[in-house]
Order: sequence, then C-alpha cells, then structure tokens
Amino acid sequence: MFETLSQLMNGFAIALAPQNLLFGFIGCLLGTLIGVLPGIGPTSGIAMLLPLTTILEPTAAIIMLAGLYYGAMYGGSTTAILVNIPGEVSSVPTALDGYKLARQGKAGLALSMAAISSFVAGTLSLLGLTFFAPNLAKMALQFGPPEYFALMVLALSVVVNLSGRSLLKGLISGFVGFLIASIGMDPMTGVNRFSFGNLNLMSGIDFISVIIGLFAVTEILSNVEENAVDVYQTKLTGLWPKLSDLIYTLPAMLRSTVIGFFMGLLPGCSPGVTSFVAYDTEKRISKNPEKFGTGEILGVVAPEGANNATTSGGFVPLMAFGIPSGPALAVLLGGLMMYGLQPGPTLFEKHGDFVWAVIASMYVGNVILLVLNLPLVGLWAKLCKVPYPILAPMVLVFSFLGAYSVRFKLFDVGIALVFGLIGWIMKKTDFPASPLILCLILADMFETSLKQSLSMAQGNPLIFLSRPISLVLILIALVLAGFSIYTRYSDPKKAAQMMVESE
Amino acid sequence: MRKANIIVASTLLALSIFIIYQAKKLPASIPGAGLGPGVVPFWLALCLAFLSALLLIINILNLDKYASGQISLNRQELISVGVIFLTLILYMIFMEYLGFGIATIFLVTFLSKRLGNYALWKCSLLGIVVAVVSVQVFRNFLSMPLPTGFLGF
Repeated sequence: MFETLSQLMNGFAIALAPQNLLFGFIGCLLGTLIGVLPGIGPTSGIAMLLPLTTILEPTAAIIMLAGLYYGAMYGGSTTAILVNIPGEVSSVPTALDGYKLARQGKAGLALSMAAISSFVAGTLSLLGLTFFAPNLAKMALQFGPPEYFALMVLALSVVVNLSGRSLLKGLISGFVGFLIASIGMDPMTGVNRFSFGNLNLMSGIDFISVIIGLFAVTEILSNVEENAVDVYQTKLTGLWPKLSDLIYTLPAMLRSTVIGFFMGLLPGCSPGVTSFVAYDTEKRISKNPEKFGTGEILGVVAPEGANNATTSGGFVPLMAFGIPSGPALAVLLGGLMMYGLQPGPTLFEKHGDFVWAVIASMYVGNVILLVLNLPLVGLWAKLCKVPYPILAPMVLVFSFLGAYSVRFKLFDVGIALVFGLIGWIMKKTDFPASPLILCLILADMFETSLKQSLSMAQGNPLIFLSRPISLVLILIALVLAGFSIYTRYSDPKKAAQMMVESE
Repeated sequence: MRKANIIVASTLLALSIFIIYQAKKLPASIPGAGLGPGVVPFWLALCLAFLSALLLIINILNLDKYASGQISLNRQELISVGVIFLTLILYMIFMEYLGFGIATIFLVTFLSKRLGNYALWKCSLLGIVVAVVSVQVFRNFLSMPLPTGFLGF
C-alpha cells in the first residue's frame, strides 16, 4: 500500500514536470475536441496522432494519447446534450435525457452535471487502477511462453465482444488481421513470407498504417454524404449546479463508478456498453422510471460516470496483462509497443517510472478536463458548428502525415489508403474492424509465444494445459467467450442492440 | 446485403486458398527453431477458408436474418467515395513531383470545394493555410522529410 503510494508520488513528480503537463493538457484539449466533433472518434484520433508523437519521449507521448482517450469521453457528452448527436457511442444514452433537458432550457445543468459526474467517476476509478493494476502485474511476473500464449488467447477472446452483429464476420475479420500480420519476416526464423520479392512488403505491413486507414480514412469516406450539424441554439445558463442537484445525483455517480470500473476490467467491455448498463440500472432502481427519456438528470449522470470509470478500468487489463478492452485501447496498446514498451506483467517492473507517471497524469488530466469542460463549454458548443467539408480535408492531411511518419515511405500512405477503402467496404457489409486490429497487433506475440512453448515441450500442445496459470487463463478465456456467446444468443434482441451500440 | 456477403465471402475464400497454397511452399519446420514459417499462416488460412465457406453457404441458403436488409449505398455516395479515393491516390502519386505543400493545397482546395461547394477563393485559402501550417510544423519544426518536389515546397 505504502509502496504503491510512494510510487504514485514519484509518478506525480514526473507527470507534473512542465513538458509532461503541457502534453497532458494538449492531449485533454485534443480529446475534448475529438469528443465534441461528430465524425471523429477517440480511436481514429489516437490512430492519427500516434505516429506523430514519435518525436516525443515515450512518457510525454503516452500521457498525451491517454489524455486524448479519456478527454474524448468528456467531450462526447457536449454534442449529445446540445445537438442530440453523440460525439462518441458511449454518449448515446446521455443524449436520451441530456437533449431533452437542453430543450427544456436546462442545457447548462446537463452539461455541468455530465462534467462533474465524469470527474467524480474518473477520479474514483483511478484509485482502483492505482491499487489493482500493480498487484495483478506482480502476480503475472512468473509468466513464461505458455502463460503468455494463454494470455494472448484471453486477449483474443475479446473478439467475441468486438464482433458487432455477426460473430462469424467478427471471427473472419480477426483471422484476416492475423494473416496481414504474417506478411514479412517470420518472428522466429527470419524467413520472408508472402512478400513476393517486394522490398516494402519484406519489412511487413505496419499496423499504424492499417489503423489509420481503417479508422481515420474510413470515417471520412463513410461521412462524405453527411451534412454539417447545427447546434441547438439556446443560452447556456446554470452551469454551476445547486447543492441539491449534487446531493440528488451523488448516489447515481457512485453506482455508475462501480458499474463502469468493474465492467471495464472485463476484456471486451467498452464504455459504449457500460454507459448503457449504468443508464439501465438507474432506470430500474428509480422510483420514477417513467421520467427517464423525458429529461431526467440521472439519465445524464449515470452514463457519463460509467463511461469515464470504464476508461480508467480498461487501463487495468491493458497495463497488467497487455489486454485491450476496446478498439481505442487496442490502438493505444499499439502505441506502447511502438515505443518498445510491452504492456503486461513486466511493464511495472521494467518501466515503473513510466507507468506511474501515466497513472498520475490521469489524476491531473481529470482536473484539467473539469476545468476545460465547465467554464469553456460554450466554446466547445460553438465548435460543433465546424462544417464537415472543412474538417474532412484536414483530417485526411493529418492521416496522411501520420501514415508517412511511420517509416517516411509513401508506401505506408498507400497502405493507409487501401485499408481506408477496405474499411469502408467492411463498414458497408457489417464486418467489424476492431477484431482485425486486435489480432494484427497481438499476432506477433501470439505466434512467438506459441512457437517458443511448443519448442519447450518438444511439440506437445498439452503444455498449455499442464501449467496451472496457463490452464486457468485458458479456462477464463473460454468462460468469458462462452458467456459472451450465450448472452448473444440467449437474448438476441438485447444483444443485437448492445452490439450495435458498442460498434 | 446477401449479395454483398456472397461476393465478400467468395473473395476471402479464394484469398485463403491462395494463402494456403503459398504457405505450403514455406518450410514446415526449421532445425533448432521448431515450427517453420509456413505452419501458423497455413492453419490461419485454413480457418479463414472454413469461416468464409460458412458465410458463403449461410448467405446462399439465406439463413442469416440480418443479411436480408439492403446495404445503405446509393449511386451518389458511390461516386463521392470513388472521387475522394481517386483524389487521394493522385495526391499520393503527384506529391513526389509537386512536393507536399503544393499537393496539399490542391487536395484541400479540391475536397472542400467538392464537399462543401464554397467559393473557390475560400477553398484555396483553406488549402494554403493547411499546407503552410503543415509544412511549417512537420517539415520545419519536427524535421519530417516530406517530399519537396521541383518547387521545393
């Protein structure tokens, strides 16, 4: 306990260094902007900026990208409340009551309570992250190749949850991701595969270009027919809530924190899902459930609290095991790997300063976001007016720069463009992109740990079942995947609704 | 959607068969390294072939209830996406000759005009601003070796 606190204090010392503080602020600012602007999500935002951060040192870069991720969660509520267009999927339930409150002239109250709930849930769940993640990572220090392989199997069980409407299409997407990763040199033998003599393909397809293509370029191609949105014109008043509002909503904030954080620990549980669960829970336990959907402030507080708690909760499996719980964290995982920081059991041991600085920066980031979102909410509201025809070319230029900066080759830009088109086709035909990305990122480690384990056991695959930790991890993976499949098929209507919402 | 699924599943099936064929050409084992480079891709491609075949059969027999709907795609959208994609390909090709700055001016001007139908001078101004800022920040400040072209911009 005291060791953790002392490491956290060290983390604060690093996070509060002027350079890190500046990049944390920039990350929060950009995140809020991305959250506010409909049409750009945190995943595409991180994908676009990830390669551009290579000029920074890893701590500053990841602090900025993490700030961007949870900043987008804060910002997503603004458009949901003022325009009825949620900036992020996780803000969809916020729009149900938030927009109604705005129509009743209570936009200020809705926006401020959303920001306060995000702050409370975000900060409380960071305490969970602080004490959970290092202990889990310590446990995982005894891992050898078979345990790493089992961990990869557990991470890949997330594919079931990331599969959208069709599990079959999700699995296909995942296998395509694996096969893309197999282009280039074999990680164990160095033999070239599927490069057909092309020098660019010999060094493999960089996942950053694929991510930029599938998320940023696809998003632009998918929105070419969209029109600019108009903000609901109302004067923002009552931005500072009354004490009675705070007392009324505090229990809901705490409940949504617990829901969001603990669900966020489960692989595959994105903020998009937990915000719906928190909204549904509040509605179920409310004495006046009929008020939900008509402008009930609890309907704003619960999803906003839950999605921010999930954001912090998702960092626990990411940092302790290297398991991303959603697409944005999968991209962030790619970012960590790009810097040679392998998330997982050894991260706390080998790069303790880095991890604690990132965790500490999140506490600071939450305060920054509260400041950015309360007094500046009027400014964010105005930004919703940026017309898409102006935004789209700029996003494309930055996506181009992001892909180019990977290896300074136009080949990588070409890869991003091709995957942009593939992503657009996938979107049209309901193939989810997230399993592809997840498998692409994890493929190398999956293959290496599989081959190392089989070498250790002279080719006997029973090694995975004969070691207790790997057996337990494989069983957990099977149970989680089985449970997700059961939920999907036992109540297809609800599951389909949740799947669409989590896409 | 059914038709689209059949096309995609057939393409993926053909692709996976091609990968299986290519993977079989790679060594199955390497002394001292255990599994050879072709083993994992072979099994992955085999799984992909199975899943693609399954998707194909489901859609041919019309067993997928979600596939009964239509893809939300109209001619106008297809043209718009085609034009933007083609523009981006041209942007990439001409960048080496024109330079990043000049190519970006053309790209942003064209796209903002096409998507927003604003006055040409406004679109050009936006193009110049985006190009100048990008060149200043990424080439001059961050030392990114962006293509300069014959005009050096």
